[in-house]
This record gives sequence, C-alpha cells and structure tokens, in this order.
Amino acid sequence: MLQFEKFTLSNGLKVLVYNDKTTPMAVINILYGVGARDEDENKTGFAHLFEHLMFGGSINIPEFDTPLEKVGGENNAFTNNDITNYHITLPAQNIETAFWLESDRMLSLAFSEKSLEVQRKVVIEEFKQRYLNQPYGDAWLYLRPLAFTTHPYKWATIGKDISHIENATMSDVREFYNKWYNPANAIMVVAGPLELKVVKSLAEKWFGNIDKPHTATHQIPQEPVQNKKRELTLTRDVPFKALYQAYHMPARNHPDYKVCDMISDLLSNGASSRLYQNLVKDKNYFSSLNAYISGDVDPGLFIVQGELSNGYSFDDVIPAIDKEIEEIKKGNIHDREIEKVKNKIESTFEFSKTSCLNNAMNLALYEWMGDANQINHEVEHYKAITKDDICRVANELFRKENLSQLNYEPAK
Amino acid sequence: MNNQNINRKQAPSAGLLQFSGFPDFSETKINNLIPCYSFENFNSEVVRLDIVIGAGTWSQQKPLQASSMARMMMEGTKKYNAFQIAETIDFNGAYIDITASNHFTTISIFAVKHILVRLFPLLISIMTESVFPEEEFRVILANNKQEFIIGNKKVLSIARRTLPSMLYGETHPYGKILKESDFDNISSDDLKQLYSQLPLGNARCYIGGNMDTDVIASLSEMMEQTKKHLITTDEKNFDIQPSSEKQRIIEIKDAVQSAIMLGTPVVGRSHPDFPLLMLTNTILGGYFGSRLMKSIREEKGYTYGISSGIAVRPKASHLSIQTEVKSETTQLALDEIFREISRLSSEKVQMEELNIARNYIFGSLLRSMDGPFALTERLMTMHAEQLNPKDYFRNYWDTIAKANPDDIQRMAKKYLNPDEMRVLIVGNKN
Repeated sequence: MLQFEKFTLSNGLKVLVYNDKTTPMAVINILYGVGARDEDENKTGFAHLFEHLMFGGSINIPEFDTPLEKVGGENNAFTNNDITNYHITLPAQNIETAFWLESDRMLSLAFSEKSLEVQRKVVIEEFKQRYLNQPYGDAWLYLRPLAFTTHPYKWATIGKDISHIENATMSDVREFYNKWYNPANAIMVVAGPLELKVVKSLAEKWFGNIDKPHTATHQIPQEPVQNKKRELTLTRDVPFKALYQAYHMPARNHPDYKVCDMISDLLSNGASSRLYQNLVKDKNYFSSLNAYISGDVDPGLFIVQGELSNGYSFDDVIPAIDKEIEEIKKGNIHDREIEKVKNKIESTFEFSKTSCLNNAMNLALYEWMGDANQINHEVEHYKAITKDDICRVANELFRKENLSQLNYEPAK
Repeated sequence: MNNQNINRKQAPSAGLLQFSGFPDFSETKINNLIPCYSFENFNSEVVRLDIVIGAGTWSQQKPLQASSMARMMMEGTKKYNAFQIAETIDFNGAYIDITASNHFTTISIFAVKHILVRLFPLLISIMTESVFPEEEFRVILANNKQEFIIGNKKVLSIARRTLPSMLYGETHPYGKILKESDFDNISSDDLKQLYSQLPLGNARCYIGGNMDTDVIASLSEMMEQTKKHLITTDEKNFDIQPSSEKQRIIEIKDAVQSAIMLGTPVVGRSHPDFPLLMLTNTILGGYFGSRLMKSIREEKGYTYGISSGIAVRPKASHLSIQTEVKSETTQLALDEIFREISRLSSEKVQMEELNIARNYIFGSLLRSMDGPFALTERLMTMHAEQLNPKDYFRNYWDTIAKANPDDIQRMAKKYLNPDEMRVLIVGNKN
C-alpha cells in the first residue's frame, strides 16, 4: 500500500506527497501531460526535442544541471507518446534546490538560440544512434505507421522524419511551451523523508505564484477499426530474419487492458512461458521471441516480436505462433499457469515498490490517468481476472484483420 | 503563505553533504566456514540472497566456458528438469540469476520474503547436481551465437568487445576477444568439468531486505551440503601485453555514426590514489556536467552522449572513454577528446568546477547506499578486492573532501598520458 497525501495549488498544480522515512534521499517527479501524440503531424518529434531544451536554462537560472550537481543531486527525463516526465533525486536536506530549479523552468525558459541549435544536433545524433545505426533499429519507425493510419501513435517519439527536427524554429518552441508547460497540466510528486507541511510550504513558496492559465485540450484523432491484415517487408543489412506482429488492443483505462497484459505474460514472461518453452527452446524456430504490450494510454498495441533462428522461413514459424495463440483462444490453460502469472505480477509490484523513484513516477502517472490511488488496487484487479476473461479477450484480440506485420529480410 | 518576494536568481541555501559511514551489517559463519553477511530491512516485503563462488572466467580453459556453465546450471539437475526449475521459480514470483564474472560465479535470488526458503531445495540441487544436457546446451548456444552476431552489427558493441584486447593483450583473461567460432568449440563436457571444480565450500553469502527469523538457519542447513566441495583454487598469473599499435580502426562501411573508445591502465580501489583518480575521471567524463559531455555534446552537438569510467577489477583496472559520434565529425571529436585529456594536466582545474564534481560524487555515493539491495552490492564489491567497507568508504569520502586542484593535475599527469592511450574507432571515419 502506497500511502500518500494530495493537495492542489490555486494555479492548478497537483501535488502528491509520499512520505518515505526509510531513505535519506528525496525525489521530485514532475509529469507534464504532453507527449508525441499531441504533436502536429508536420512538426513531429517536438515533445521530445522540447524535453532536451528544458535543460538549456530557465528565465532566472542559466544552467539547470550545475546547481543540482552542486548539492549532490541527479536528474533525468523521458518523453513517450503520452507524457513527458522529469525527475530529480537528491539528499533530502537539499530538497529546496529541486523546488527552485523545477519551478523556474515551469515559470519560463531562457529560449536560447544556441541551446536550440545544439540540442537539435544532439537529437539528430540520438535518432541515428537509436534508430539508424543498429540492426532492426528502424522497426518502430515502420511498424507504427503500418498499425496506425490516423492516431498520432503512428509516429515515434523521436519524430516521423529527421527534417521535422532540423526545421524546428524558436517560435515553434515558444508556442509548444506556452501551450503545454503550465501548472494545471502538471503533476508533481515529492517523495522521501519529508512531512506534508514542509512540502506544502515549499510548493506554495516556489510554485504558488506561477500564474499561467492552461486552456489546451488533447485533440487526438482516434484510430478507425482495422479490417484487413497489413504486411510490410523490409530488406536490410541485418544478420537474421525478424518478425514483428502488432494487434490493436484496448486503452489503458479499459478493464481488458490488464487481460491483454496477462495474455502477454502467459505467452512470454519468464523461462517457463509458452513461447519460450515451445518455440525458442523446444522447436528453436526463434533465437528470441517475446510478447508484450506497448503500454499506451490510448488504445495501443499487443506485440509479438522475435528473431528467427538461422535456416527457418517465415512460413515455417508463423503457423507455430498462431498455434500458440489458438491454444489461448481455446482456453487450454491450466489453473496453475494462471496462478503463476498472477504470482509473478504480484511480486513484480512488490519489487517495484522498493524504489522511491519508481513509486514517485508511478503515482504521477496514475494520478494523471485519473486517480493515484488506483495503483493500490492494481494487483487485486489482476487477481480477479478469470480464464473466461482471457479466452474472450484473446478471441477479440487475435484476429487476422486486426494484425499488422513487419518482416525483416536480410539483404543478400 | 504565498511569498511574492522570493529571489529566483539565488539558489536556496543547501547543507554540506555528510557521510555517516558504511552502515552496520551482521556477519555470521555458516557451519564455521561460510561467511554470511546480512542487512536486515523491514521496509519492504522482498529479500535478496547472493551466493558468491570464487571461480569465473579467469579459471576457464576456453572462451564461453564459465558463462555457459552459469547459464546452464538451471537447465536441469538430477532432481529437476529445466522446465520444472523455470516453472518453480516463475510460480513463486521469484528471480534467479546466475552470472560468471572474471573471478566469481554469483547466484542471485530475488523473492518475496516467505518464498525464499521454499526455493532452497531447488537451489542446492542447482549448485551441486546440475546435469548439463547436451541437447539443451546446443539450442541455448545457438541462440547466444545469434545474439552475438547481432551485437557485432553495432559499432559500440564491437568497440567494447575489442578495446580490452588492446589494453591487456588477447592472451590475458581481461583482454580476450570473443569470436563467432568460439561458439562451435564448446561442449557440455567443458561445462561439467568447470562445474565439478566450483569451490562451493568457500562461497560467501549475502542477504539483504526483509528476512524471516529462520532464514539464516535454513541457509546454514542448505550450505551444509556444500561441505564436500571444499576445493581450493589457485588463480594462474597472466602477463599484460598491451597492443603495440596505439590506434586501431575497424572500418564499417555506411555507418552513420562511429564508435570511439579510448583506454589506459589505472590503479584500482586498493591503491591510495583511487579516490582522487575517481574525482579526476568525474571531472573529465563521469557525469552530465563533465568536460567531455559539455564539449562534445553540449557545445558541439557531435553526439547524444559521451562518458568516461573506471573498470575496476581485482587484478588490473583501466579507464575508458566511449562515445558514438556523427561519422563526419569522428576526427574532430577525437581531437577534442585529446584536447580535454591534455587540458587536465596542463591547467589547474578551478575550485568551482572541482566542488561540483566533488558534490556530484558525494551525492552518487549516498544514492548508491540507499536500501539493502544496494548495500549488498557495495559489500560484494568490497570483498572482491579484500577491502574493509567501513575503512574504505570513510577514506574515500574524506580524501575527496580534501582534494584540491593540485591533486587533480597530479592525477592527470600520472594516469592520463595521451601518448599512452589506446584508441579504437569503429565506423566510417571519413
């Protein structure tokens, strides 16, 4: 049970306080409710580029990192398709430094041309490092637009095209910031050995007078139902054939989301899982094979991804995956197997709770999705899932017309 | 309450970082023989047990022998087949990891507290009666080989696999380069041979987190059965033979980025210079505010990231720098890296910069001791080098607290000689 307190400042900033006396370190995690799905299709990669610019100095503080490093702190951030999340970990005694830094960049940025120039280059190198300069690195650049025709999940967080980053202007940057980086679009979690009243007074002091109204809403075109299988083959300089199968699945707040998650665990969580035992070890059709969910807030994807063992063709191995999926659809699942997956989910939650930073990030995310306290009911929701739920959802999910498939063929 | 008069240009006052010493832990001897160290902590429901056995790649006769043995220990024993082992671990929501490093084979178990002792029958079977089925080994080896081949398509993976050979020589265990053909020259008999010589009777146990009162008693009972494996190991000596060539280029046509790695031998934790050397490394490339990060990324935008670090190992240590840069700027980036290395010796660092790096190290040291799992890891690192954690960390902190710009310059002159650096470029230099 994660016990936390919550209050909202008059400017709309939500603050959650998680008192953890067991650590000498404190965490401030700030989630801004903006991600790549909120981007203009002609200006993609912006939410992520912007995350880089958030370290380029704010209105009163020329450098973000240095003052934090000076007090023994460390920070990082990530952007995904739904949110942008910033976190600081530092010795609890110096927590006010984190309030000072985070509040100033929420108040206003420095908007330095030099910072934009450099971070543009850095992000382009990030693009190359992650997506272009390694085998199978571009899979998601192709899989997303194959699976999504309309919803902005069709582009990757890094952007649809490098030129969007190259062409970003300072006025684009300002506009994006003014639209999304407002107190009422943010959730702050303060975790560590800190009392509520201390956090309240620091939050009022540093964030209380940031008056920036928030009016933007998420204008997300929803994905039409797919009614025909899609397939794309990429010929690349890769050593082995690889397969990516993507099925549309329900949104994060849909009860069947967790059922999908559990199906992916039945298929591939742990060395005793079906795909690993049957197709990697027994038949050895694949050198690696995994099933997982994309974890998106809007309806996302259920993925089956694997590298084929040398010598096998797609025609050899795909029917074998289909057969495994068919078993789930038919409900050929032992009670003990379901219990196993539930036990694993429960222990994973217990392990995750040992990290103060994890707890802070999760509370922010759950609060943003509607209610931080839902995190305390996750395990019971998973435990309530039945074999019938699994069968029903598997039958809805695994339909050929719901499938987008990406194949990698090694170039001769 | 809303205070309009705050000065946002001014950093809030901050306290000096303090270190209260490496936390207490208890130490018992199991069966008067095997030391068991524990950090009790009841803040969570989980527990971690590590069994450290003193044999790793250093003791192997051929490449892949130690890592494959570690990987295969869970693939079948006299009592349980591979599926039963995997299913038992999964059903209990636990994780068991067996890894081989240079000098140790380590079994790590993570579990919810009441589960841990339930896994002991399985664990002792894995430690004492694994059977290494040939057929299963073939499959796992083939999969590992594919993974290795995929890794060899990544410039940084190639660089990481190759650089140690330039520093230690290919005949030294730290410098050996793994080759594709090594995967074809190993059999389950090789694994059985190494396994039969595992010095289990001289293992060390580490346990951290939430533990039941009977856990140590059960652990003792289990480890009792390792008594017959009282094997003394004698680690051979190998000569370090750095490559004669200072710079090597591995050409990868069409690569859009080049991996650059530089390396040079340095001293390890037991040497008095180590704390100051760590501080020097931090200033050079050990954190986001480091000189290399500022210059190569934040000034010039040649890369997404660059870092330097010290690979400390019981018998020899080295400092290395690594980055992936835009192909067209490979030479520019390399020149810049050398300029930053030389600048540490030629000019004294400013006190301000030294203080930032110092506090960064202090902060990361405090973070690295947060929680019982982290403490277990620190303690294992200490013991691997026969260091006393209380003395070591006190001295490390105090030495860094007193460091001045002369110390940094002295360390740079002593250990960061540009002419001694080995340079490796993987990619497309032009």
